[in-house]
Amino acid sequence: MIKAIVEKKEKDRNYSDSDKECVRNPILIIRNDNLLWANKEFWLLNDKYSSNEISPTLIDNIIGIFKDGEWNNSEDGSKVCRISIGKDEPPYYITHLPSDSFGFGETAIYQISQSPNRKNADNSIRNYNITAVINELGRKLDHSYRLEDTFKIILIGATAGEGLGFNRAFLLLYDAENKAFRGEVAIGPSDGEEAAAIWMELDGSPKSLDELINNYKNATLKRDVKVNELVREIFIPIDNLCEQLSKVIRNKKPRIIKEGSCNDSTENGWSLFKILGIDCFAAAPLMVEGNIVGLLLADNMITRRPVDDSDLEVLGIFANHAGTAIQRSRLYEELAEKINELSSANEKIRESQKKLIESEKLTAIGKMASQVAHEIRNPLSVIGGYAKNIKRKMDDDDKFSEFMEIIIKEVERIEKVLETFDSLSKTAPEEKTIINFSELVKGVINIAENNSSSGMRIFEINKMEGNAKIFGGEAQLRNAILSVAKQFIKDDKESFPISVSTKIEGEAVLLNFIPQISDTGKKHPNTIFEALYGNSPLKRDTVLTIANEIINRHLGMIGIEQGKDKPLSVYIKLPLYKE
Amino acid sequence: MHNVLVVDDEKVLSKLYEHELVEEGYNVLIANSGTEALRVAQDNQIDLMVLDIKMDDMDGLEVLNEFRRKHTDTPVILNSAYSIYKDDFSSWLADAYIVKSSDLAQLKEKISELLKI
Repeated sequence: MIKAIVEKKEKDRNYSDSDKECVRNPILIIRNDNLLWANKEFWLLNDKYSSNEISPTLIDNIIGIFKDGEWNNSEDGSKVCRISIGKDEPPYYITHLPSDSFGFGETAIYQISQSPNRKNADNSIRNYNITAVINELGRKLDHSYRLEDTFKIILIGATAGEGLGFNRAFLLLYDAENKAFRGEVAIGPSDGEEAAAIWMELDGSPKSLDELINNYKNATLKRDVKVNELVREIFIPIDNLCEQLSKVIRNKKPRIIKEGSCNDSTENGWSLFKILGIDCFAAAPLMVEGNIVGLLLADNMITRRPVDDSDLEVLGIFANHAGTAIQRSRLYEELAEKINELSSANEKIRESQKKLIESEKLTAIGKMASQVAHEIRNPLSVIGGYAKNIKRKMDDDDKFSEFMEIIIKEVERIEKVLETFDSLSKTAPEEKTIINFSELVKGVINIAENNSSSGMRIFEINKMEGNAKIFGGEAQLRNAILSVAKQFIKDDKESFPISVSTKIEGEAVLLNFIPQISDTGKKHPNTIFEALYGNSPLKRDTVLTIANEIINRHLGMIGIEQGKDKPLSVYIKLPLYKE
Repeated sequence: MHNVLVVDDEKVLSKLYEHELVEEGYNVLIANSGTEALRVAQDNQIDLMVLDIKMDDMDGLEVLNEFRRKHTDTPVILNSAYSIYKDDFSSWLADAYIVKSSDLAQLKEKISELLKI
């Protein structure tokens, strides 16, 4: 027995005249003898006959039909049952729409019409002003800038009852890089239960197309996941389209694509039917200035209403609007992205300026502290030094000895204060300047060479890049390079001299240390590698670790290179300074 | 007697060092600039150099670099009113780094240690 579970308020709704003007066929969805959903046309019909003497409600009448009615097979495989509602009323026909082929299980969809022929019945409901709908959708698309919203409007427009009225819609976009159509987004129920749930929710929502678009998200939330999973499976290379879809592209006109018509075609034609789970759908090209940017596919999987030429014509007009809207949204999003990038770059510049000012302030304070310490410390050393010298030579009972002691103590007190100045100058970051990298390297090599007690020439300066400029703290970088250079001095002398060279490589400048004798020379890079990246922190060289940190902070790196035809080398890479 | 070269552009300070180090038994040579220091080092047998860093003509680190070319084993003590150069790798070439102070005990100890007296 059928039990009506639709809330009472649904039945008690008042319908405006405009609602009645767009009347469609009453539809019911029933699962396991429960009425899951019925459209408002059904309830209008139900209300109309609820006071009838013969039958208190249409539902009651239908219950009887389900139990005792005579069902006949129609041409398209659906079952039809004739019902008589009132004494002088024309007969109605209940059509049980075929559902076995798309796995609804116990869910059944019924349509009530005044014609036993489904096609006539469906056509009779298309008496609303389609031009007004297209205009409204076009206006809505004209004001949509975000791609996601545009997709939403297109899909809702194609599927909403107040729109083009298809059950499901799939948007495929042309992927120029892969020369293929790729499924992007879809909308619609994937079975009878979902259809009931979505349509019931939409029935309770405001009914204008405009409001529907705004409220559709809630109705489809989590419910059109399945169709979106399906659409993402779609990937059709342009040169592998079935003949019917190829005609859509070639002729730039919408077509009805039937499974049979693609029988002799490519596998992709077949796979598309498999993915969509239907045997017939409409396909319209999305065009922008004569170029196809995608395809809009639509079907009536739930109601099985055949797609006819008038559907196709409307879909084609709508697809033209949609193509332009997609292109406009894409351009708008690209522009928005550029604006965002620009804003983000501006923000970074502002942040950098702020940091620079802070850093400059600290540097200035540090410099000043250091200079003050120097200027005071020198004369203080003289005063204190002489005072101590004199005090040593005085007898303890000398009447000036006590005064000398006071001078010494006061000098020591000031010297203690100066130590705090030292710590201040140490915390200040080093001032960054533009540095000639090759000159810096030459200076470092000079220092390193002089530091050696071997008496041998350790380094051989080879090709140096004259224009390599970097930006950073000169003293820090000098220290870092020197600490790497010193690693070579520590080791055996068999591989001396070590070739030193600089070169520009892309956006970076490279300093290379290459031992001349490759076999024994391997020791140096390996030692350095161990010292830098050894597994045990205890085995890592503290100085080299600091040097690595300095180079990293300058967005560079210290590395070891060993190619098949290249000698083993140690390199320091730093970003080139750009004006 | 060890020859100690004191390099400082503050004449009163180098005079103090001379006075104190002579009392310690060293033969003290004075240079009041970097250039003068290199010349004195060239003309004399130097056993140890006490070297200031911040000087007008040539800073102490440059002098140290030049000096090391010919005197690889001669100990050098960097003696500066600046403490920041202690962290500069250029100062590695020196054997010790002392921040100037009215108390010369640390300097005297270091000289004695480096000359292995």
